[in-house]
Amino acid sequence: MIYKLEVRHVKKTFATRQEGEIVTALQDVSLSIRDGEFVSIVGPSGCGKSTLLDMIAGLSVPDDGDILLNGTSIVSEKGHVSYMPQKDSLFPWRTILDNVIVPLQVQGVRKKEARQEALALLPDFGLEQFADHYPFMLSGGMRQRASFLRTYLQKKDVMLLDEPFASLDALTRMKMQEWLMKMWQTFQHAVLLVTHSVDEALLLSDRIYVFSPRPGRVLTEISVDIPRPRAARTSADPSFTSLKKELLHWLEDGISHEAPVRKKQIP
Amino acid sequence: MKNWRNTVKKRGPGSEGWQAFLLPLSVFLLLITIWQLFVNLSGIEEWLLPGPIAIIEALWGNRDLMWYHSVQTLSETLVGLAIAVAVGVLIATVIESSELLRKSFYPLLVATQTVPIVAVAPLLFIWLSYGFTHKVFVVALVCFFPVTISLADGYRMVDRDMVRYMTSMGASPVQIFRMVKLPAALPSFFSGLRIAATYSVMGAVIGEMIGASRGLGIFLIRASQSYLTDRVFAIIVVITLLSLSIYAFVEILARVMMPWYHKQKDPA
Ligand SMILES: Nc1ncnc2c1ncn2[C@@H]1O[C@H](COP(=O)(O)OP(=O)(O)OP(=O)(O)O)[C@@H](O)[C@H]1O
Ligand SMILES: [Mg+2]
Repeated sequence: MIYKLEVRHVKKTFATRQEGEIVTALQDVSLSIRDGEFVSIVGPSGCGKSTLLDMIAGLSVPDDGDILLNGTSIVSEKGHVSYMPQKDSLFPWRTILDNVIVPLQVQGVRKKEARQEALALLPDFGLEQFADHYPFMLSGGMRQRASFLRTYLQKKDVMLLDEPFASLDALTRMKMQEWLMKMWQTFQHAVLLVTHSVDEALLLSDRIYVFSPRPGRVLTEISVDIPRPRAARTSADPSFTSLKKELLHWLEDGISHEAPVRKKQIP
Repeated sequence: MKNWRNTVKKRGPGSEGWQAFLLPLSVFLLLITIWQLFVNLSGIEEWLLPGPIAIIEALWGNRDLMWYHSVQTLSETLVGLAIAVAVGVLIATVIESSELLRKSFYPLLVATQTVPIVAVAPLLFIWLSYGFTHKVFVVALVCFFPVTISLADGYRMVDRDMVRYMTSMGASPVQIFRMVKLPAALPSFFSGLRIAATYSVMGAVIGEMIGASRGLGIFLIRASQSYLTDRVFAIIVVITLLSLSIYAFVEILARVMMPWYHKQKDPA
């Protein structure tokens, strides 16, 4: 069958500045996402998750392997997927409304029409009161929503989200997860989410790929068969707890092979 | 759902705003009074040090001459500043478009900035005709470097992640320039323009001192040669006011063009 997005045996190395030492960020990674599927990647810091998303978005080129969208290679091609990078880069000189229309303007839509289109979407994203605010006036959660709306307005049916909630406090994070779930059920995009949080991955995903520490490889793939709609309460569910145990086992096992790897945000 | 920072920032023009204005004004008035008292009590010769009242009288008594020369100086200043901005923006932008150009020209730009303008001005007098042009040129020259260098630096300060984000959406270099680099460079550009604004009147006055028939610079030279010290002070006051108003104009322009920057900087 043809997947929505397929990553085949991708490898990526970086030459570091010091004495031409070569760092292998990703070593033979393969994964696939079906149309409308929600897939997560969990893995320790530095295992190449952002590197992988960059390559899917066409920002860098794999040393080896292929990346296919609807069965055609998109290696080094930009603009095929909606990408929300790890760092929130809203433009400080634009209001929230004018920030979220950036992708439309890039596609050549006139400012006036772009604004009209975005204005209609602001309530869905809980941003209607903030249209004229500048990003620095908003809380972290609201900024993430704006980033997300901006990503959504790239209007591609595959979304790459790189740790969208990492900088939020636990409560805001939980709200944003539920909100993202609702959004995804309405819009039915294929989503590839990178996260450090096992709970987040279990709550949101259909499937989870667990990555090893650097050099990144797929350790295992876990299907999350917990019925939807899920909520934060789901984490008390027995199937949730057993899946969580399994995931943590894989992560810890992966880490214990290489002792000095930083353990960051893995609950 | 409003963020606490929003509410804290909405303070309005409270007591602090007035203090910022009233305190320096009182100190200024106090100093002027002391000056006047000193002149009255010490009986110092007027040609050596006139008091503030004598200066104001000289200012008012010569108001037609002051106006006549100020118009000349102001027009030289504005034309020179406009040329500096136009050429500076062009050059900084061209340099930014290529790594090679940047590497070749940027260090030279910084180095030439250290040449003292006062020393170059007589040369310009020889090269350019006696009249409007050489003074405009001096102004353009002193203003050119701060404008160009600050804009070139501003382009460099753009957040690489923003550029990457634009690239990932398939934005063209022109779109990236217009939507990211240019707005990102504005704060730095305006700090250069502020420096240029304070230099600009000085440039025109120096140009006029070296050779002119009209303008505050030559007016100043003539007054000092006749030991009309109260008039010299009056001209200094006018020059300062001109500088201040150009600076204020730049400041207003900055606020109009970067509302986001000023809202963020000063919680007003
Ligand atoms: N441009 C680059 N040049 C050199 N090394 C790089 C470059 N980009 C990434 N790396 C290295 O590749 C490895 C993977 O980086 P990446 O940012 O993909 O990790 P990550 O899994 O996203 O980590 P985190 O969870 O902390 O975001 C890291 O060791 C990093 O130092
Ligand atoms: Mg990352």
